[in-house]
Amino acid sequence: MLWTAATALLSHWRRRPLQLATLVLGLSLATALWSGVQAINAEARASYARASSVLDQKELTQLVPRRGDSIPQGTYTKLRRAGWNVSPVIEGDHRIGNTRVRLIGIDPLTMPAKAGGFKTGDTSNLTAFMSQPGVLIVSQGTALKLKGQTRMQLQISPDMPDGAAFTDIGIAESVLDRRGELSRLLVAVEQRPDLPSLGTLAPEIALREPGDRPDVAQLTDSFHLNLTAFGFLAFVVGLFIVYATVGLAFEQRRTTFRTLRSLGLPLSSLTLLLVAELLVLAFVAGVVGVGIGYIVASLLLPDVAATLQGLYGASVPSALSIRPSWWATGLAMAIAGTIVSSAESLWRVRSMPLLTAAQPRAWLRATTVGIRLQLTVGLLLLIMSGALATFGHGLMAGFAVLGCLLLGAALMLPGVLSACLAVLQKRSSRALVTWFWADTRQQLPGLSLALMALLLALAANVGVGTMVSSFRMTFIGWLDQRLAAELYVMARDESEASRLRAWLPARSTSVLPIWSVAGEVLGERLEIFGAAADDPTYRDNWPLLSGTVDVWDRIAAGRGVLVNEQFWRRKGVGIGTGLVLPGGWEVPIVGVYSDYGNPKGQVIVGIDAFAAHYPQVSKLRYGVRVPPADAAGLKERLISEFGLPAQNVIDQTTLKRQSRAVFDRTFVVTGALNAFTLGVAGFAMFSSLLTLSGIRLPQLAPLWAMGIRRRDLALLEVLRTLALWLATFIAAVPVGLALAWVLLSIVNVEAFGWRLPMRIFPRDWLILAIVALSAAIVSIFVPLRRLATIAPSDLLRVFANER
Amino acid sequence: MNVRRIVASVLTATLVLVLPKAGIPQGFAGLGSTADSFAIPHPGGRLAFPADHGPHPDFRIEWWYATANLQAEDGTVFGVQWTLFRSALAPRTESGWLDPQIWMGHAAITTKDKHFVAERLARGGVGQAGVVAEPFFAWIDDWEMKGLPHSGADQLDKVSLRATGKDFSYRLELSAKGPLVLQGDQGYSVKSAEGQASYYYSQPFYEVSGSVDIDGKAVRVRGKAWLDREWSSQPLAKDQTGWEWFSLHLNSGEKLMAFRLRSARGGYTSANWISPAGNPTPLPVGSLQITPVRIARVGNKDIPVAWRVQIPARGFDVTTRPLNDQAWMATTTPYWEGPITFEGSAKGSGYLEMTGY
Amino acid sequence: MLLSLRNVSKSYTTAEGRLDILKAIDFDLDAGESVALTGESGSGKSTLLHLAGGLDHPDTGQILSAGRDIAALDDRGRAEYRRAAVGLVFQQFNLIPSLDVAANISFHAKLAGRHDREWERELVGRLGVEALLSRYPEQLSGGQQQRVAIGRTLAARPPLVLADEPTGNLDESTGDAVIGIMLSLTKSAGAALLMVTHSSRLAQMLDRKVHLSGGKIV
Repeated sequence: MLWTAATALLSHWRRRPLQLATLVLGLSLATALWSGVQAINAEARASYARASSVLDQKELTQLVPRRGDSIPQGTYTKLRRAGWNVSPVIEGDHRIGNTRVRLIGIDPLTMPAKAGGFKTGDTSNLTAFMSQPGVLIVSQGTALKLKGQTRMQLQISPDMPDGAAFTDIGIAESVLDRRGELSRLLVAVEQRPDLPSLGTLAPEIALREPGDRPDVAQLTDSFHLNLTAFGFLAFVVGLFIVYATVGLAFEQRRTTFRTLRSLGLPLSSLTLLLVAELLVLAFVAGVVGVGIGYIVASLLLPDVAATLQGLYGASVPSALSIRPSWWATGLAMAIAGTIVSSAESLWRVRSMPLLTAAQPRAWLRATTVGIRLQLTVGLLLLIMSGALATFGHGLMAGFAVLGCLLLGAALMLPGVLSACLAVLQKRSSRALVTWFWADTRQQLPGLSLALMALLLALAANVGVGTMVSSFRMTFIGWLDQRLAAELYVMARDESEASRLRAWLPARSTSVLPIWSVAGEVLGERLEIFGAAADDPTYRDNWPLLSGTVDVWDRIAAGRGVLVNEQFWRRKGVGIGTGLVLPGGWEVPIVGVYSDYGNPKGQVIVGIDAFAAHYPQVSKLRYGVRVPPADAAGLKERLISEFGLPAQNVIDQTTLKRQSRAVFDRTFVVTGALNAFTLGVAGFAMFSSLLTLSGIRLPQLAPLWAMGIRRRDLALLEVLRTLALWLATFIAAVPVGLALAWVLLSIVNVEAFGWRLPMRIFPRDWLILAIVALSAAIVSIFVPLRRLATIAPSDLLRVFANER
Repeated sequence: MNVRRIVASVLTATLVLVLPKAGIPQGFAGLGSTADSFAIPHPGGRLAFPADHGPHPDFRIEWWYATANLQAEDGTVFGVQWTLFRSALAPRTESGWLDPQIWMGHAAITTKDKHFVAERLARGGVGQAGVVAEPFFAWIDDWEMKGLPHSGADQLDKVSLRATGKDFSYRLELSAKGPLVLQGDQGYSVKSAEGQASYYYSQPFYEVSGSVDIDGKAVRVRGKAWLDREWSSQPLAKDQTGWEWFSLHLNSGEKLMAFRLRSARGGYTSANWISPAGNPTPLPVGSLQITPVRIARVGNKDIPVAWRVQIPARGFDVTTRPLNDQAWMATTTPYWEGPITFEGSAKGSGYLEMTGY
Repeated sequence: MLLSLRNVSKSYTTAEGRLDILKAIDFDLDAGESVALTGESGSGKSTLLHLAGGLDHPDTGQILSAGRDIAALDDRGRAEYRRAAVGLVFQQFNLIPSLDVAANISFHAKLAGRHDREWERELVGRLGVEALLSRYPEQLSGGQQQRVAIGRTLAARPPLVLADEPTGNLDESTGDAVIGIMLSLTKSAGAALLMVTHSSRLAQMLDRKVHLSGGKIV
């Protein structure tokens, strides 16, 4: 009985393969984008966690200095002798050749067992590790860069993140020139009972509880939230397809349902069969979707990795590993999505009276009440969005603003369109035109989901496009100011650097040192730069957001510091706030500068004060000012006469080009996701039109009978679709601009720490309009062909048969 | 895999040097048998005190090794071990982290049914561990062996001993009732037929009082202790795979030190009979015979935990029994070390160490 | 002569093979005349009606209207014929669901370019649908819908009204009322009526009756 009933139900799909394909493909696409994005996120997070557990030993409690950036070695000995099971770490940035490496000096003898993981080959030898010249444990990638650049033995560990190296604490101490200055102490989990208290033993250090999440993970949160939002948007758009298709398939089978029930199939069995059918379909679509998602993720991951590197300096492998949990969630999403989007249809089957005639048109019937309700909810959401934008704080609030804005706009769309169409209908006097508007309006409920999907996709495109373009223009303008020196040179060692300092002045307008140290300020690890503030290069070019009148004089005199915008916003400091810099000296903030593309805080002090407080700093890098015409000549002489390797002399143009390339790569992923979302929305439109074209015949036949040619009817269908696309597009532009504003003024500030001016690029909209139009034409092609080639006998059947 | 593990895999190699008693992977980098640029013991080298209580950084390995057989007032029996090993990566010292001298502490308490072990590692140069000859002080972290004001001639006549682990600790006071005893030929102790040797002396006459604390419960104890001091650079011959080492307190007041270094060719045995007054009589090579009596399953190994120890020339024939079969030292380089009692031609207590299983 | 069918044949290819629906039919209809077309199911009544209305075209033969051969017209010509010369009333009412009653009634007239407000107002009155003008088809009963459909057809003042079982979906009394209105209105509009029906009672209300059987007029 069940099986016979199942065959009857399933025969529907055999007769409508296109509908089946739409359903499976819609769900697959939705699952694909969602799970693809999740795969990328999982990979990146795993990599942060790995880096964090290896490099920062984040899961351990640590002891850190209360002031300044070092703990005296004696404190360590004192603690050990008192029974504290602690292990010392000396770390710092170290340049080897052209590669900057985060050097982490550990003591293998006292390292706690939980200090995080990497593997080494079995050739490792403590003697070599603990003796000069030392061993660097690095990733494969870092090893390739360092090869031939250092006397230290390189040992590759697959678990090491790029750009970092483990070495013995003794080696690190001498390489980093931090004799007896420990960076931090790791506290082992296992401690003897009755430990003497830290306060009496070593009041100069503080206990830091294990951080549950890595810094870089917090830093990149917004980025991943962005990706997730995109993935979810696409998923929702995909569910619209499923909703529409399942709804239609159920309506078309009402007769079958009725017959089956008349023949004695219990309602519960029928429901069971339908649920089983949906689950099987969801499972198949889910598997396909996760498969496609894997491909999508593999294609996108290299760009995501580049983005994360470019924006946050976070290192993520560009190869994807397969995680069972990810497959499981992908499938679960597909199944849950199917159930959610079929719930209404299933409910209708359950509550359907035994003797109701099939009414495909009733399924589409415009429920004025529904549209009004949507309109109201949408309006409320928009108001809420505005309120959140005004009063909310934090990244989550920013995303809530985005969510309310998009959802509210989407919900309002059918109502607004319907109202516009009603006006158009009223104002037209010609019968056919009146009918055109009236009929378009009547079709809205059937198309509204697809149109809402389209609105979301288009608005996201406009919004994100505006954000990226605004960012790009601001960034390039800023680069032009910031990269003012004609040449940037780097000496290979200190003796070469001092030769360079002697050689350059006679051959250039001015030489600007670019020296930096890493340190902790207000609890944040950041870079401190020294700047020759009395040089006109800074006064004329350096982009300041705000500052005192005599800002550069005060910097030059060592009586003030500049901080970058992200540090300023994050720490809530202001002009005049005193900062305690590493080494314990305190200087007030006198200015804030914009510093795009850098996730970390930055502080600039006058070069003389800098050199006085950090005499041990490596003095290798310089900006060189020469008349632009002489730049090429000087570069040539630096290489041939002075003997610097060509890669150590970079001219401004090259540097700008590289920076721009980094920037552009950064947003490749955004572009790709935009395109995908638009694609899914296009597919939603296609499937809706296809669905409608199947039940259009009875609506069109009377017109044909009254003397409208099939050709003209088809043309009107095209015009109708285009009109709806156009209307949606027009609606999408303001929504997109609002989205861009939220991204630039709220989300970016929270996520990156900088605010950008919004610029408008109507040319981009035109391109988007053309792309969207092409998608519209493609989406209507199949339904249209169906209509145009319909035989008169099919139209006649509308009049003849009892349906 | 974690940082600790890489270090451990590296360290195993080093500990071999530290712990000749604790087993040697065969042919490891030749370090087990050659001395490189390190000093080597030579016959006739006279020991001088208190200087020789202190470290000898030009030798590769060295230890301060105390074992105690203790009893509480209610008769409960305890074994206590306190060891500080020194292992040099190079024959020199340096201040700071680059000091090639590495220190390792082992502490243990053995009861009838429990065995507690702790291990500490440190490098010299930063003050975390070391030994000073006068006034005597050996330490690693909060573990100490410290010379106390004494009436006797030697720095080691009276010392306090302290160690703490996760769930145990002890504080003991050791008072020597006899003189230092030089092992082998005036302190030159031969370890193989090929002539590998070490400098080796002992203080076997300690009377002990103090307290041991297990899981927060302190117990007052009394008993006997034995201190071994040994340093060398070329501890074992190539084919030697481990050893059994006995330190026995006879109820008669006599002491016996006996060991066998196992090799493919049967092994090299050595013993020293010490009179109650502290006069040593090194026995001729081959006069000691040891035979396993009972094998116990310890972890996943079969270990002979009871032995028949015979010195026919002295009419000595006893069988030793461990207080606890499971006296396994699960340290970086694992070995068996625990208190024993013996019966037969003589009775008494002592310590057994077995390596290379 | 308003409409002449000469030697018209029509067949369909079905799953069981070729099915001859109409076999060399000859039929004439005068202006203002009302003719009932009766016959068994499948006798070809509806097919004849569709051919007459330019909805379908014959395999052979001529369909002459005002001197033109409809059968020879192309798609565009037939559409023009339907728009200008014919009014159709079906069993399924076939109103345009997106337009209200008023718009439905004036729809065909506007298409045909013969929108006449006076005449429309009169029609609405005589059909008794004044109160329904702003309603939508789905809000109407069957009889109301059919009255609106008749109104839509007659508002365009076509010379020929073709009706296919216009009361098939209505109960007898409503059906009789609707037919009554249709007959009187066609007369006053001066239009000819060709009505397919299987009811001889209804057929007797018309001027003439033509019976189809086996694809032939008998």
